[in-house]
Amino acid sequence: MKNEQIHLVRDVLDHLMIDKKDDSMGRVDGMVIVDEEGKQPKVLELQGGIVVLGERLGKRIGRWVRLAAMKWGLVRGKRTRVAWKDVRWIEIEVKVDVDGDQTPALEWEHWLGENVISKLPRSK
Amino acid sequence: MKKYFEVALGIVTSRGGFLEVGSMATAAQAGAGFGYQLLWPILLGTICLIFLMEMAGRMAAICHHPLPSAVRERFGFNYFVIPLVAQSAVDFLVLSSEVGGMSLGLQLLSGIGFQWWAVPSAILVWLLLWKGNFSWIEYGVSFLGLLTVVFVVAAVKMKPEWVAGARGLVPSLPRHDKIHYWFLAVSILGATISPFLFNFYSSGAVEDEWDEKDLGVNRATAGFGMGFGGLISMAVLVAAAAVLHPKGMEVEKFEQIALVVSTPLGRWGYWIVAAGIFIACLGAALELSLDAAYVYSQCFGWAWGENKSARDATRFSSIYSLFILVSPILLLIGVDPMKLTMFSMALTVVILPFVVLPFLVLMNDPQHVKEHRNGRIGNTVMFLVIVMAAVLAVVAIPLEIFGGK
Repeated sequence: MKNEQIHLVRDVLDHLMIDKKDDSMGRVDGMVIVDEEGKQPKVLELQGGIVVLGERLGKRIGRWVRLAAMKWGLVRGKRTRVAWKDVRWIEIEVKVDVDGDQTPALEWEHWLGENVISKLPRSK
Repeated sequence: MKKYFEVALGIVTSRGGFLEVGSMATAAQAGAGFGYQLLWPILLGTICLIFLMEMAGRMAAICHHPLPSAVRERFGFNYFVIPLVAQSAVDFLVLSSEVGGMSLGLQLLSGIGFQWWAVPSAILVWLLLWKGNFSWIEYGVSFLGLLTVVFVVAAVKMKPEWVAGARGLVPSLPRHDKIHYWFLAVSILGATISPFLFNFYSSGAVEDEWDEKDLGVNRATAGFGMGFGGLISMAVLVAAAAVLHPKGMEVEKFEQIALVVSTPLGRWGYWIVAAGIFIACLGAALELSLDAAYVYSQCFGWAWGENKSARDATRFSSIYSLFILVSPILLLIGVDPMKLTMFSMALTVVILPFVVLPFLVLMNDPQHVKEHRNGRIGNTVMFLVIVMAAVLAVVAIPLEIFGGK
């Protein structure tokens, strides 16, 4: 990482996460800071997913979204989690050292491809 | 030479999105109801649009992030959710209007009622997006859309009153039917400064891989392309003012728009304008479907791009497919395309401030535009657009209720 200040809300939150294969794996929908007793608070992980977004809009909306995701969601409301140590660099995008295919971030992308798109006429 | 060709293509292309069912319907209603008096909202809207499009293209060329993406990054999801929901509703309504416009074009050509054409029109839009790529859609449909130049020919052929036309470019108070006059002025501005245009334009710039070298092309495309679109919209109004206003005819049905061309140009004018309406609405329907997919994909960070196969951007292609699938519903349940169009145009104005306000901040943010930030003129114009958009947003719904016909 370059030697400059990173403003978590301005430069990380809501920015695009790019995985180790240079594919987009959604946006940074939330960040978790861990505050252990006797230690300094530190950024633990970046999170992504509809449940995280719902919680940002308010407690009640968050609860509804979580319940809906648990009932109908492909990953049952599981969040995409990227440990802070896996963040490689931060520019206008956030480059992370994980494989997006191994996270819940791309479940819907794959599911639609296999169950819907593949059954339609071939696209370009 | 290549640069000139790019600019020429850009001009034709950007006109493609400008002239659609909304701009035709509002301009024709204004010309029929108030003569040349409502030319000024088209001029004002076109000038605002030129500035906004240039900025949208500049930002996309510099940071390679289109407008919706940049708004989410800079303002966060809690803000973006407002334009996302509003834009979804407006895109659905305007897309339905465009499918209605395509269907009415086909009704004029075939004599078969427009409801029968709603589903085939939607299928055609979907097939073109599914099978085509960005350039094909951008250039192919836009070139065919040049048929709408027939409105300019019709306007000139009617020997309009040029002095009255020039007076119409300056805002003036209505002599009768005040609420309807202001309703039309707001609807024309809504049809002209459509947020989907700058979302589409900035996403297209990223698809076309624009960079700093393309800033000149961007300026020329925004200026001349939107100017060209504005000119054709004005021609619709002028032709309607020359043909329908003296007879005291109002444009209540979309089919009456064909009259403004067929009266001066006869049968061949009728066929061209019918085909022109179909193609112009097809072009706008393609752009709107893509816009919906762009906004969602960029908001949530999904893979996106019309140049990608559906398999490589499954959520992107699912979103435009879904929007197209539901677009004929309103027409099938009997909603009048003209009323739907006028309602959608007024509603477009309501979401305008939510899209333009963040734009001002982004165009001054070095992270997004580096050293290509707005100058004083750009910021002043943008500030004025925001003030105007806020006023319009407040008055649009009351005017819709009391001034819509």
